Amino acid sequence: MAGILFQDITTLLLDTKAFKDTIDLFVERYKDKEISVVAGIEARGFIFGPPIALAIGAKFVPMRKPNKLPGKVISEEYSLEYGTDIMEMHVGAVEAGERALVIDDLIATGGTLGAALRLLERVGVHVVECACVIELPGLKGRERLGDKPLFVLVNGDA
Amino acid sequence: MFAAENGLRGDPRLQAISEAIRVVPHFPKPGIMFQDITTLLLDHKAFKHTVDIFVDRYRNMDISVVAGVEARGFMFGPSIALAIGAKFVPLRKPRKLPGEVISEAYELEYGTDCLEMHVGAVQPGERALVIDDLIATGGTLSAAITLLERVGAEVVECGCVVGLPEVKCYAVELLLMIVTFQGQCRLNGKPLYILVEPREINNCC
Repeated sequence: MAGILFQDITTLLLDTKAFKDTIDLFVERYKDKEISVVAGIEARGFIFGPPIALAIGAKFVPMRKPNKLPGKVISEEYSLEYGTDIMEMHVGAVEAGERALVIDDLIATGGTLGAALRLLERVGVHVVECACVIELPGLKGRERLGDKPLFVLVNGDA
Repeated sequence: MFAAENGLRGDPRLQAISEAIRVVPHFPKPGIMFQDITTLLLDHKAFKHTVDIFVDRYRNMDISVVAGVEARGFMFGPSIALAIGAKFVPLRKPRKLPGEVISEAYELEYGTDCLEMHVGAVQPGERALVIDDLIATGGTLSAAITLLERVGAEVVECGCVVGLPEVKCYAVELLLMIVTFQGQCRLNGKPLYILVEPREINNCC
């Protein structure tokens, strides 16, 4: 990924080769890990998750802000710098025992990734890894993931 | 306008796609039969068919831009963009995109909203596709078309997974949607390509 110095992934999406390489790197890593669920966090996780899911034969599950998903959901609260927010997942989207990947474009404080992790684990899913394009290491997001491995492609400045 | 009338009549993939979409009654408010595409995303085969149909249609049209409308357009657009060698441009709600943006307001049932695109994401003369999961009134898609045209791009088509049948287009939004003599539905003069119609109820249970 030489020469990429950005935290705004939209510039990556304009570079067809770099975007394809990004997806290919994730697909290579996960295609033989028997992953049946790719969970993507709203909204930029929706950009990277579905192409990975399609390539590895997994389903894609959107993890959303409140009141966006129709029908029955389960909710998980998480801390922001000031206050809290809520993440939701559809009831029945995943089943106990499934192996999952959680995808987002970037990990900063780890709040949203942590919430997604907890939602999946609450319904008995085994989260194999969390994956992001970019990590902002100064914000110590890894610590909020507990013992869950985190895979990132690029380190950004905090 | 509908895939079934545009060379895919009887294609079993369309039925699989239709059946994979869940109908949620009275969401977000009473009277609306919400077409929930998240169940399509859980069905790997049907999701792949959806992307493949769009890719087959657009791969030889010299399209260099796929613009996806936040947030469900993000679930379909990037896969299409990757397969046809185009860039993906997210069209977002206000204040989500960092840096310089251009904005286009559009009507909601009550009030207005705004769609934004990055300055410099698209060059004049580029050929673009707009993708969203569903078209209802056409307000957001119309704003998307306008954004792209304002920077000099040519919008080739709008592609949606689910949309109203053409017989209703004329009745619903006379200002935005005009049924041409051939019965093709257009939005701001741009063709619409829709895979399936909305369903009233779920086929099963």
